[in-house]
Order: sequence, then C-alpha cells, then structure tokens
Amino acid sequence: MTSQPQQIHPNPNRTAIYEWIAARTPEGARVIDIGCGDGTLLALLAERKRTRGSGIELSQELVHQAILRGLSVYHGNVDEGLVAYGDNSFDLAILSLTIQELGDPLNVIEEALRVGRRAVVVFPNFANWRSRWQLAVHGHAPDTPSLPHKWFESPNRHYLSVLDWEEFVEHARWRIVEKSFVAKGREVVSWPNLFSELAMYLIEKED
Amino acid sequence: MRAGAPQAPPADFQGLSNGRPMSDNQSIGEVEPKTTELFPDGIQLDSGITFGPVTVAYETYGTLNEEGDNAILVCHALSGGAHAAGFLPGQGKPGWWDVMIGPNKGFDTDRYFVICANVLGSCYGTTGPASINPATNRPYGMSFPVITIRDMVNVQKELVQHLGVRRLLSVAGGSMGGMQALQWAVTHPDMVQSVVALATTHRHSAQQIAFNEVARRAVMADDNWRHGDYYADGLRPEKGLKLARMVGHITYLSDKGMEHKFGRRLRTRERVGYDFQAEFEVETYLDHQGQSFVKRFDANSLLYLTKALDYCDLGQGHPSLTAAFRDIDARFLLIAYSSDWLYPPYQMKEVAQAIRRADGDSTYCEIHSDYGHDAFLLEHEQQQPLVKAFLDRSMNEMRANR
Repeated sequence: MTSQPQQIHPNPNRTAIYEWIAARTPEGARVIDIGCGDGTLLALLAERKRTRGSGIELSQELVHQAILRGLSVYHGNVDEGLVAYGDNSFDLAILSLTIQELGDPLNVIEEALRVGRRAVVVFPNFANWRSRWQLAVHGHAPDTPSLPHKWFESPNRHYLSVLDWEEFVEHARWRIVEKSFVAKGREVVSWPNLFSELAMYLIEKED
Repeated sequence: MRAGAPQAPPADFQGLSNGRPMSDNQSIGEVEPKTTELFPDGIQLDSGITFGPVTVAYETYGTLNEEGDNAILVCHALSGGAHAAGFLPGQGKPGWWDVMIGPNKGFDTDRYFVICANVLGSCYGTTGPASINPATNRPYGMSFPVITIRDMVNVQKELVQHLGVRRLLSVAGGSMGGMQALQWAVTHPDMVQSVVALATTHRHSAQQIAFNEVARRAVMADDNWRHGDYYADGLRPEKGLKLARMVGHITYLSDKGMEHKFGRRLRTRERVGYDFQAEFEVETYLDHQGQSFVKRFDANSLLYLTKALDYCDLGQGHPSLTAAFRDIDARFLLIAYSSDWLYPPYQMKEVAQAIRRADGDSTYCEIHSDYGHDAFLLEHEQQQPLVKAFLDRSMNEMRANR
C-alpha cells in the first residue's frame, strides 16, 4: 500500500477548528464529514454531541484509521459518496480542509448543501501575510503552518483567500450564517484576509 | 450417508485456491465436527418445493455467553465447508479461515462464539445432491431441488436457533459467504446486529453468470456425468469438473498476481517444445489445482451451488436494492479488493450506497491487493484490525440496545 504523506490538520489550529464546529453542531445531529481523514472530528462530535456521524474519505490508510475508531466511512471519492443520499439527510455537512483539494468545489458544496441543511467549510487562507511575504519577498511558494506542504507534495489543487471565498459564496448564492478566522490557534478579529491562517464558515442555501 | 462423493472435509481442504497462509501459533487447536438433523417436516424452498429432512454439518469455536449475545455466524464460499478454524482430529491442515478465527484474531474466540456450517447443496456433510434420499435410498443426484442463497440462509437460521442463539452479533463471509451474510440481514433483520461482507455482491452480473455457465457446461459435457447419476459405479465426471475448476481458478486470481507468480516461466523444460504438453508453469499449476479439486468436491454440488449464486439478487421482490435494505438496523462492514475482477469493487459500492440511501449504516473500504478475488482469504493482516474494531462497536451497540 502506498500512502502519501498527509498532515491532516496543522496544530494548534486543529483544536480551534474542532471547537468551533462542535459549538455549531446541534445535540444528536446527523452529520456527514466529507473528507473525514482519520475520523478525529467525527469521533469527537459523537462523544460530545452524541451525533450520528458518517464520513467519506479517499485515502485507504485514513479510512482504516477511521474504522479503527469505530466510525462509519465510505472509501471513495466525494461525488460517489454523496450521490447515495437524499435531500436534507443531514443536519450538518462538514468540509474541513477539503475544498482546496477537490476537483470541482462548487459542485461538491452544492451537493453538501443538498444532503445537509447547513454546511461548515474550513479552508487555509492563501492570502495570509506569511504566504504573501514568502512569495513577494523571498520568491518562494508558500510553506506555512496552514499550507504545510512543499509544492511537489501538496495535495492542494486550489489556492484561495478569504476574499476569493466570499466572492465565490455570493456568486453561488449561498448565505453565510456565521464565520470565524484563526491564526496560531487564536481567533483573528480584524483584517482576516491578511492575518488569518484558516477561515471557517457556516453556510446554508438561500431561501 | 453418501456414495461416491468425498466422505468428509478432506485434509487438504482450503477455502478457494492454493497459496493461502498456514496457521500461526494462535490456533484454537483441535475442534470437533458436529452434525444435526433439522426440518423433520421439510423446509419450504424459494422454488416452492418442500424439502427435508436436512442434515447440517457445523463447527463451533469459543463459548456462547450467558446473555447469548456473542454469537457470530461465519459463512463459507463456493468450495468451502464447516471446518473454518483449528484442526480436525488426526488432520494437520487448519480450517479455511484459521488466520481470522481464533484467540485474539479478528473473530476472537476468547470473546465470541463462532459458528460455521456447511451450506445446503454442498458435499461436506450437509445434505446435498450426493446425499442419500431417504425416500429412495439412493443419492439425490439431479432430483435434488434447485436451491438459492436464501434457502441456505434459512437452513442456517434453523441451526442458529437450535444452538440457542436469538440474535447474531454478526454474520460474516466472503464471496458466496458474503452473499449469505447480506441475505441474512435482508431476510432476517431482527436476528442480525451486524454484517461483515467481503469480496461479494448483491447480485450476479452477466459476466459472473457466464463464468458459472461455462463451469456447469464443462461438467455436463463429460460423458461420465450421466445427468448426475454417477454415484453408483464410481465413474465420476472428473474431466469436466477439473476443467470447470481450472476456469474458475483463473477468475480467483488477478493478471498481476499471475504474472508475479508464474510469468512465462516453463515448468520442466529449458525452452518451448513446439508441442501441446503442459509446459508453462501456469498450465501445470491449473492442472494441479483442477486435479486436487476433483478429489475433494462433488460435480453435482458445483452445479447446484453455482446456480444458487446466479439466482442471488437481493433487490428481487423489492422496488429497488435500496428498498431491500430499508428498516434494517444492522451495521455493515463491506470490503472489496482492488484487483478482484470476479467481484469488482463497484458491486460492493452499490451495496454500500444502497444501505446509506436506505438510511442504514454502512462502512465501505477497498483494500489494495494484487491477489484478485482470493484476497479476502489472504489479506488477513489488513482485515484483522478492521473486523476487530467493527465487532467491538457492534457488541457495544448490541448491549446498549438491550
């Protein structure tokens, strides 16, 4: 079995992401974690919020780890994983550090908002000052805490900023319910496009 | 009880083909083959025929606990038998899934009570075409009724209840055994807490039916077959059965696996002989596999069991496959293998998706392997922890819901 080196969530932002998502997960909710990795978040939500959770993950190694946690996982790509579900099958669909790796993020988020009443989207902010500095001053592709991969080993296909995302949401006609920004595990309150390492959004369909 | 057919599960009995790992030192040790007679008044088969009585050969490993909630039924594949783990008295070779069943193994016999029974229609102790028909005192032969996977399951249900088990913690199996496991959940949802199905499908595709038909035709084309009535004089349709097994065996391997195992190597010669003797290693290998199968399997059983496989269609009688899985509490662990072209992963995915669409709980995982269909017997190191964790959770849920 070949496995790519995969760092799922950069610490310490990982804790911040989990806390933020857990706080927005209703007790006993049905959740689907799209790109669930080793299932850490699903296991945490099951323990703290008594959720009925399910995951989709492409990597065999991570699927194995999730099964070892006693979770229900579908090993495959996101499209075939989601097509099985009817509308509003879940209270919450989670895309935590997933969309930057997807071939067609627009379609997948549409699907997430079809099978889920709401969706959480978390992504690394490419316009963080550190990235800007590395690119503009040093002339190197960013290698930062939230983008922790060398160019040749990065699973990321898309590099987006907070501004890019909000334009994307507007264009797709989704509604932002809540948002929050994180750097070094702490909340970023001002200038998120410059200072945040990660951006977290709770979105839903417009009525 | 039988004439002309193998007397008992043979010493060299193995699940599907050769090359499987030997037992390790964590074996359950010597086990006792058992039989019981069920359905004195007959069992109603899918074909509409009432058939009986049925003798069932089975083995059990571990102990049924006081609550009766630790029983697991393991279902064997086409050419398997009840001897799944440990050693039979006086025989050296372990059961067909010894690597998965035993103390501390995937199916941990220190914790679980594991049952394995030979299926209806087979030739290893359970009533099949080679058994004596009590009405005529002669082997059934082709007067044996055509059976289905569901018929096999209904026989197992009677056995399980006979053993004092009301609800199974899990039903597990690969290939034909996996079909039985899935069928159990669909047919007896109130008796199944979880299902472990490996390298299997919800229904046979045209390709799968086609290979089975070639196997059946090979047997029936043998002049010794005589419409299945060959038990009396010991002249059995060995050529046909051997050919059937050779074709079947190819479907259990993968292109890459065969390339690795044989390549174009010659067996007994330095260079090709420009004649038609078996000279490539793969040729002599298939020949050997076919030959050893003939010694241990009954040709009529092959006809009946392949037919049962071909008739399997879990969605049949329901508006859809999804509908078949509605209102089933059982959790499913479904594993497919990347190089299995006989039961390709897409079929297992269809099952996983149907269960999820029916609001059920399925886990699907594709294991990367070059072993082809046989992988479910060989990739035990990868399977072991997955099955363990899955059974753990199933046990917790079974106790929580009680």
